[in-house]
Amino acid sequence: MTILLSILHYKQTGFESTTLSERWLLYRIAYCYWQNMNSKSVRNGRVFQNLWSEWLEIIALFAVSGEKLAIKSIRYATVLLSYIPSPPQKASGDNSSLSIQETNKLRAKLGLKPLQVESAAPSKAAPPPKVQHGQDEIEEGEHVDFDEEALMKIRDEREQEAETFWKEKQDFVHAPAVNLTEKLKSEKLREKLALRREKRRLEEKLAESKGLADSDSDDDASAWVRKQKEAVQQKLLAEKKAKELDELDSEFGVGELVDTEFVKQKNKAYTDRDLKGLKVLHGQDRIEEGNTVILTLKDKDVLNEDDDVLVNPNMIDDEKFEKNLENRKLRPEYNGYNVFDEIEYDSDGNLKGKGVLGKYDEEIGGQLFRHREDTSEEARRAKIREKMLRSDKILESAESTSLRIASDFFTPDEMVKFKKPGKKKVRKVRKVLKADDLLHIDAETHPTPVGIISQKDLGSRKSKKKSGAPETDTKTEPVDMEIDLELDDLPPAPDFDVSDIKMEDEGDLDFQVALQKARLLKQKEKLKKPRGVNLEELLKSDDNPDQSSSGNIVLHATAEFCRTLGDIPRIEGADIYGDEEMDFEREDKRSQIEERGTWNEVEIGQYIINIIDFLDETPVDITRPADAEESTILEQEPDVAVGIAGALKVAMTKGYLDKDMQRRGGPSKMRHLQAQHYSIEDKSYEDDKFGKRDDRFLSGPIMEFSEKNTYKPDFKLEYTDDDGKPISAKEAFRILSHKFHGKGSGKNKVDKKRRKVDQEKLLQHMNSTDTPLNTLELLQQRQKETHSAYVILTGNKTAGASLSKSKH
Amino acid sequence: MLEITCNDRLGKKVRVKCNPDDTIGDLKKLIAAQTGTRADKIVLKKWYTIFKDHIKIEDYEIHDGQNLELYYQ
Repeated sequence: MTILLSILHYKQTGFESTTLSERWLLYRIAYCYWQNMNSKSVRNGRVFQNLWSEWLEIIALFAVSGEKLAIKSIRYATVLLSYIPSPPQKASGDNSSLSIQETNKLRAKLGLKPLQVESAAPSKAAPPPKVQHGQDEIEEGEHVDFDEEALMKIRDEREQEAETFWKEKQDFVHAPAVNLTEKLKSEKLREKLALRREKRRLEEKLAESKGLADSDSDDDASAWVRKQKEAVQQKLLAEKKAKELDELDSEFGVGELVDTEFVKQKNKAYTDRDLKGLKVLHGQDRIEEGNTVILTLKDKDVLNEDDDVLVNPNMIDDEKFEKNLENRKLRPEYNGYNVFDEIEYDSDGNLKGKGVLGKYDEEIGGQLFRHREDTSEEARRAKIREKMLRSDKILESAESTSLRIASDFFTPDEMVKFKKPGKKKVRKVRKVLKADDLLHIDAETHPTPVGIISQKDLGSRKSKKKSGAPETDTKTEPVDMEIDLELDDLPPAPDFDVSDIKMEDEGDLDFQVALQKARLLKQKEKLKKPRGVNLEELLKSDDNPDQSSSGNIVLHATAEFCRTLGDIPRIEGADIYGDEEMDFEREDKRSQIEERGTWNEVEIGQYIINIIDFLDETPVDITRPADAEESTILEQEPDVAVGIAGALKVAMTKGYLDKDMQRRGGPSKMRHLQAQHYSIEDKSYEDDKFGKRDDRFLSGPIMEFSEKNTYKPDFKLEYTDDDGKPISAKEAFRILSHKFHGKGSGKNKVDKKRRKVDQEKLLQHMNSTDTPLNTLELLQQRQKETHSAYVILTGNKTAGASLSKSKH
Repeated sequence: MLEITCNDRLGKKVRVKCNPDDTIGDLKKLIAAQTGTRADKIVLKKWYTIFKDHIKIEDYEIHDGQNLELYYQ
């Protein structure tokens, strides 16, 4: 635009002098420019406003020019102007609002009514005359001052013009949009109507024909007869008509043609004559008299040039079935030996012999294949006989199975068979004791008078047995084997005195055995008991130390040592163990025991137990583990008397010594003895591991300090708990792992650990010389009180009182 | 003729001129023309009230200068 203006200004005064072509050029340029400007962004921008003023200037200039040719251009310009939209009415920043014009355009595009603008009414009438007026004015080439007001006026006019122009152009009503719902409704209705129509039609059709249940108008026989008559008549009529037609045809010579046609058809027909000579696969007997059987051609290959064969599929099936039946008969289900199956008759009435393998005979290809090499019966039989003889089997011919009448009972002959070869069954026969028998016996043995009964065998079952042996006749027959002695059969008890008779009964044997066993057991127990008795004796002896006959003081190292401890009261001339009471063997035993060096033995309270102990022991094994009776709650303590080593061990177990003190100067002291050039090579690294590292310059010196070559420190890693308690490396690692993984042990485990720790604490604080319940101390106290070395555990208090010694 | 402001709250704010007897569907078309989206993708709401397409603007008692919320579906 500036170019234009510059040109114009250049020729300001002489605008009229600008040639037509120049002006035309200007116009063209302006038009093009305006076209480009047509985009919204340009139109609505500030640029446009500036341009607008320029435009006005140009137009004004042109208007001023007043030339004829210019008029054309001016007209052009005005037209252009009319196309130029008005600048935005609302000078607002947003570019998202359309003017009414634009909106209306949009609405037109979318098919909507234009906007109803209330204030548009007055301006409607005005624009048309104004436009004219405007044009006339220009045409007339009047002087129009192009001051601001005029320009504004012109602009307004143009605007309204545009609006009305559009309104006029669009002064039609759009067709209302298709209402889809209405359309759907109407369609549905149409469908319904169509359906109804169809239904009506069908119903009408149905109504024409009569239903089955409908009552006939002609229920009477007469009506029916009439109907039949009519039907016949109609037939006759039809025939007549046909005849007539034929006559007509024959008149016209058409009949012959028709006949020939028929004949042709006849000839084409396939009748019985064509079937003469065809084979039928079934036998004559299959087709029963009077029945018609439909036969079809049997399937055959396409290239098969054999004659056709007629078959009936049903008959084929029947034949197959019969064949199968026969085959099945050959393999019978074995329901038991059925004699009558074996006998089969041929068609002629002869016995059919099949042989053993008859059931495997197959019909292959129409021929019967028999599964035997040698078909001659004689040869076969001979073979079989030989076999049997060789195998030492009893030959039994099948023919020998004679038939006989079945019966439910065994014949006496068969009973004989059942007799078993005599199994000598020694059966104790408890015979009924009768007086006669007794007499009999007595009479046998010695001739005593009847009334007197010998003491030997009265009532004795043994004798009875003996007596019973010769009496074989009383032995049961095989038939009467099962006679049992019944209580009822026993006679009443004999009146004589039976008390001093020793009854020996076989049945008592078991009882006697049991008694023996019990006696033995009792003896064993008694054997055990005397120990206690001895114990008491010993104790008594112990209580009376004055009984020591020797008068010598026997010193035992352990006893002395323990005395120094103060536990054992010094009793002069006392021998704690009461040597004089013991055997020489026992002394040896004891010494050995002492050498074992158990502290427990020495103490007063314990030596009771120990006496029991050494009484039991055999002198052989010192290192034998403790008996159940010894059963000290504490473990075996190391022998203090062995030497310093023993003492040390004791001290360690007790905890008198610190365990840490052991490890003082461990590895460093022996370093001079260790291998000088020994190194452990790690062969597990990758080949390029160290070569690829680029921190060669980043990391510090890898070689050790040469001046510190002789520095070989001895270090000790101590780990402590969170609570400050020292813990082992294993524990420390465990804690570290917990921290690393972020999760520790579960509740149960933690509780267990805690319990263990507590137990260990308790163990540390435990009394090493006594049981946890201080039983030993209590025992000692009790002993002090009662002034007795023993403690009665059970029984009433008075019993103890009797045993206590008098105070002295 | 009303002028309704439709605000997207994401940067799109349009002022649309329309008739009171226009339906919401027509309004949506106008909005679509101005914003460049598709008319059937526009949802006009006012707090949880969704304006339905077949109802007129005046029936919703939408007056001149009112703001509507512009959503998309």
